[in-house]
Amino acid sequence: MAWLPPHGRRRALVAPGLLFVLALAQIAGFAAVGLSPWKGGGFGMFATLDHGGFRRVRVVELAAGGERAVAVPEELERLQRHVREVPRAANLRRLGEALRARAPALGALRVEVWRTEFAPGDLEPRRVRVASAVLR
Amino acid sequence: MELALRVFLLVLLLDAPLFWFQRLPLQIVCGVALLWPALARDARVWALVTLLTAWPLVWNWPFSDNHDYLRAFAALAVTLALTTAEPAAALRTSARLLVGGTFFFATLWKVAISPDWLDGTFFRVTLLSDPRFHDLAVLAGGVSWDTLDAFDAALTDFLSGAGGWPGSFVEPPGLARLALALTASTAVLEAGIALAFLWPRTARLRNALLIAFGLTIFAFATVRGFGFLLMTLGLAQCEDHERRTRIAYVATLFGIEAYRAVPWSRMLIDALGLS
Repeated sequence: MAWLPPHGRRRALVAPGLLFVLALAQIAGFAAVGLSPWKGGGFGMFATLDHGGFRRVRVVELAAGGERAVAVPEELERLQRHVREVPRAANLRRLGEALRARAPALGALRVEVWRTEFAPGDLEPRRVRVASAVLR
Repeated sequence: MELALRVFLLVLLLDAPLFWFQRLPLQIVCGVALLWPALARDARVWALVTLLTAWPLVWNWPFSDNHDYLRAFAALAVTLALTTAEPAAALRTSARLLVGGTFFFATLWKVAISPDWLDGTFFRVTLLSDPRFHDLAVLAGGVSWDTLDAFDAALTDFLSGAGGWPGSFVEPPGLARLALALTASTAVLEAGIALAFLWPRTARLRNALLIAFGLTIFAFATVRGFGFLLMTLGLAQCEDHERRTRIAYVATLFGIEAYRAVPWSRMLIDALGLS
């Protein structure tokens, strides 16, 4: 095949091949679990407003009297950011479990990740839920 | 190839990973290889560099930026090229395809996957909300500092949940025009680079497009590590006879550093009385 390098230089295709495989995996991660387009090696930075700065993690306690927002302590900030960038159900539950380990009195929790969309007309923002998980 | 390897080592020294325990070992290896040129051509040294650029991707998951991945791929490409009978030719192929692949996926995201790029929304919001683009918004979009402050305050309130969105925000007309111009020109430039670098035959426009990208985009988007890598890969894929082009890549690389180091846009704003 003319487009391939000569036989002795085929290993020159390894690094670009890895780039293509990882970038495709990143797109699959975005489609499957809402992986941030800006992260994961897919070269989606500066392509969309769906990035960490415009995503928000929200935790609510589901009590009999209604829902109550739960603050995420500073020591869980890295895990919170991880959840924001990779909002897999398992990561959301991990954050909920970490919160409950610090405050065992907490009841059922719902962990949510939201992104911000801007209206093309007047740029008015609105929140769109990316993922959520309930921890009983 | 010698020049490309030395420049890559310099780039790795200047733009190493964030954490000290990731940065320091890499800088020591690259510094030593710069001082002893024989080491710069040793595949084992580059295997170590590959390891030192790759493990932060795992350690820092998922926070690494895209150019952190590109840095590791480029180090791997050098390692493998040095194990072939024709290292310069092998590196030329790898570097060309790494640039082509980077821009192929950057273009794919922008024109086919992103929901808010083609209609200009991305740049309209980014020019107002990202401080790196504020000077451009003022200089070329006719946006006032009061407008930027008002948008920032409203957005901060909205994102924190402290407030709703004020219905009175008026977008300056010049901003939408600038955003559409940036959207169209970026799409054409990035798609052109992807095509030119993935095309297996020598494309005359290839180097001109990548250097134009370096000279324009990084004037405002001060992601110097990404710019450094792109110019290094551009340099590495040059043919032996392209001496002037190699000089142009190195000059552009230093130009990207100058964009970051010199507050040229703020000086221009002051000179025009727009501050």
